[in-house]
Amino acid sequence: MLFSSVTFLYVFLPIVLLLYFLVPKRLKNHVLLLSSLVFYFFGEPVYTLLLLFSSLSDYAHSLLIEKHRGTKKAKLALISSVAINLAMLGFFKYADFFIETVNTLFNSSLPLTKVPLPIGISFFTFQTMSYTIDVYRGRAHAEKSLLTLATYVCLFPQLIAGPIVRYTDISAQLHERESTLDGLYLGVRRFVFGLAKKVLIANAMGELCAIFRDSADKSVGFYWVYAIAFTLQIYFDFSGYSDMAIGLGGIFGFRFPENFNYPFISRSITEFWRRWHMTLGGWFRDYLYIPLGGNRVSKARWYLNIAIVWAATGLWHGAAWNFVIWGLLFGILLILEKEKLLEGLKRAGRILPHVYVMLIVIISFVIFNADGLQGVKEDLAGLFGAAGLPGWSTETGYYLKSYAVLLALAIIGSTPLPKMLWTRFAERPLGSKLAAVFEPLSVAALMALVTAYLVDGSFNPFLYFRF
Amino acid sequence: MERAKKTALIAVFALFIFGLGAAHIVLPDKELSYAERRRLGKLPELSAEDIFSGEYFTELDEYLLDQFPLRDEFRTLKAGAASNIFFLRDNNGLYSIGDGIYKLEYPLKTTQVELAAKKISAVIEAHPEMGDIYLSVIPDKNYFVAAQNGYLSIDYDSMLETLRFGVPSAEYIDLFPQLTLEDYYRTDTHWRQERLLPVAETLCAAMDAPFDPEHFAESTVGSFQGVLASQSALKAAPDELRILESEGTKTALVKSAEHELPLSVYTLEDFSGMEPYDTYLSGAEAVLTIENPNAASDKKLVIFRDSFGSSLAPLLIDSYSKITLIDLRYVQSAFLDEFAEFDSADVLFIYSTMLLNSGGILK
Repeated sequence: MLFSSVTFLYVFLPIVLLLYFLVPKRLKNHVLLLSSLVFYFFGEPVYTLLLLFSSLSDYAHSLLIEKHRGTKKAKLALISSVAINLAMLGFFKYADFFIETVNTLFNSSLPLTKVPLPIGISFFTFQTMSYTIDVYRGRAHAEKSLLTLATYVCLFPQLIAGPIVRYTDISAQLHERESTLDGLYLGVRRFVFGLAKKVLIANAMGELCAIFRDSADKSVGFYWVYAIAFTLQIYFDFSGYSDMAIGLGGIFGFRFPENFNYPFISRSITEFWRRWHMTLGGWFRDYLYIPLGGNRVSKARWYLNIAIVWAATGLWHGAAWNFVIWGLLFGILLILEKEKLLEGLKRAGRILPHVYVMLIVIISFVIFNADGLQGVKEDLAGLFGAAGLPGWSTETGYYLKSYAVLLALAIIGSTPLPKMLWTRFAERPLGSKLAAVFEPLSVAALMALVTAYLVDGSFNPFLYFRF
Repeated sequence: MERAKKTALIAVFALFIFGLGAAHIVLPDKELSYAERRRLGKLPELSAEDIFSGEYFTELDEYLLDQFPLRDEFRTLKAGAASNIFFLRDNNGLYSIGDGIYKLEYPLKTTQVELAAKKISAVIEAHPEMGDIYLSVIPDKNYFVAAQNGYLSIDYDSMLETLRFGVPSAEYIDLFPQLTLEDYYRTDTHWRQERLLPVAETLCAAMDAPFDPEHFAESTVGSFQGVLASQSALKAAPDELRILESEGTKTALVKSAEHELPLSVYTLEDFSGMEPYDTYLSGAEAVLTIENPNAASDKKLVIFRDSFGSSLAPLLIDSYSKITLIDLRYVQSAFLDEFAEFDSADVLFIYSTMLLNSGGILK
């Protein structure tokens, strides 16, 4: 089930909220766990068992780790827990990628498993791994209540698209939390704005990308329009979803970590990755990069560590070689920045570093969204005028004009400017009074628009009547 | 003030999700959407197989969307936002200029036009007994407005060239100069019958059939919102559906291959149905024959057509003693002999550019 669906907004969420706020405190986690399982069951009926298995496995392993703390048994339990999680991820997400690669390299024809990918597996396996590792490291106590741990693992607001919430982030709130007026207000506001980012902006950018893909009138200009549109789509989609998750968490009294912090204003790739998908960056830093030795090793090993982390980051996003290339591209750039480039960028003024970051980010997302390695080749050729396409086409002009306002809104909306202006406005005496009216009104307007867009999404006229 | 603002914001959100959620449960489900010309989804039946395959939830999603309270109003809001807030040039491929609504017909699918040409040629080759063979094309409304107003437009010359090249044995009758934007409904894709007398005259002149426009008297059936208004969800002034009647249209015998009882040339009861344009010759029919013993000639005509032919054919009833209308979307060309006689009959292939651009659907 998606947050941006009528089923979630108008059936699932009201029922869950009603139950959650009606039951006594001791039953709130029961409601959250049950509703989370229903939420997952709606999209992945069979794989709900996998989610329960994951909860049970990590519950048992963490208790073993705690019981045998400081002994070899604890280490074995940790290895077993991590191995189970990686095996699940490996089988469901990477098995066919591995088989395809072997088939290509050795000209073999091993059959593919064709097992469907369980939704959110990359998120919940990473969360549960962080839990057992933190218990092993002594940063968290093993959760004694299976219900509480299962609530953490299955918690629907962040289950399928993050942010990657570590157990240590919310362990206290899993046991004791309050739903306050402030929490509800901030949660609802964040949720609605995230929903609008997803439905009104990201989906529109997605439409533009789909139009480009279907077009028989491509041009170099259209490739750039597509590249910009996709960059905006992925930002508004992903950050919108994170906003919704954080907002929902707030409604239920949780404080989830932030996941995005205006990444497109960055002036270096290093800064970009401190602002983009922050919880994933933090996870790889704490559970892979530092255990590998981080930068406290020889230079060659340090480079290797960075390469491993960024190849893994790429693979985490998808089981295909274009994701590996995408990750390694950032790895290489981060190494270059750490060497000399970063200092050079600091001396290059305000505009040039920003242009450099956006150019790299836009090109990187073209690689990210390409259809395999051949797709990367074709898309980059199109982008840089090596595909024999004209510079401009009728369709390019039409769709650029058509989506100009949305593109402008998306570009401005991806910067801190709107928030800055709003804060300044709301801080003034008159602004504060107007905000009291404007905020609820804007929530009403956004909910009406989002609902209108969702309802229209099902518009499906019978084709005979075209003629 | 702060507390009131926070409470109001939460209340607005709650009002939406609980209010619309409750309305969804309370309001009765609708069977049909007249706006979208389709049946709406029903609450799926529970079965273990559907639940575990995920099919149940997909159908439930569809049902909830189809039966959403104020669905048409929300669609209107979306259409308004798309054009007035986000300034999109088209919404779901629909755009409006003045009080007219249009559907983008783009890009030109040459392969589809070639498939249509191939099918027409195959029909001609399979029936050497055909009399004179004619080919004509009806431009869609975009032809008159799209390019001039900066909308995407197909290369109509290229389409016609492809078609005519693919059907060399037919004599082409050019209707493009006979038509203007005013000859089409503002809210519908179709042309207006009451404006088609010059078109009928041109066709009859080319096919050497008698035609007298004075035979026809115009009357109004009623006002209606065409398919484009419904699809666009925009508020539009209604069109008027008018019919041209003659002695021939009143007395002709209309038979359908799909119905036992004879039909009328104008089925007025269809006007209040899902598709008012079905008033002309009952709408979608695979094969129809219209016999008029009082026609001005004993010539026979076979028309291969799409829905545009429904409003054109009545104007030819006084000119031909028998007209057979064939819609190759609904009948396989291999079985034509069972329904139609081509013996020395004039044969007219007349299709809209919209159909030709999806020519693969001809069977």
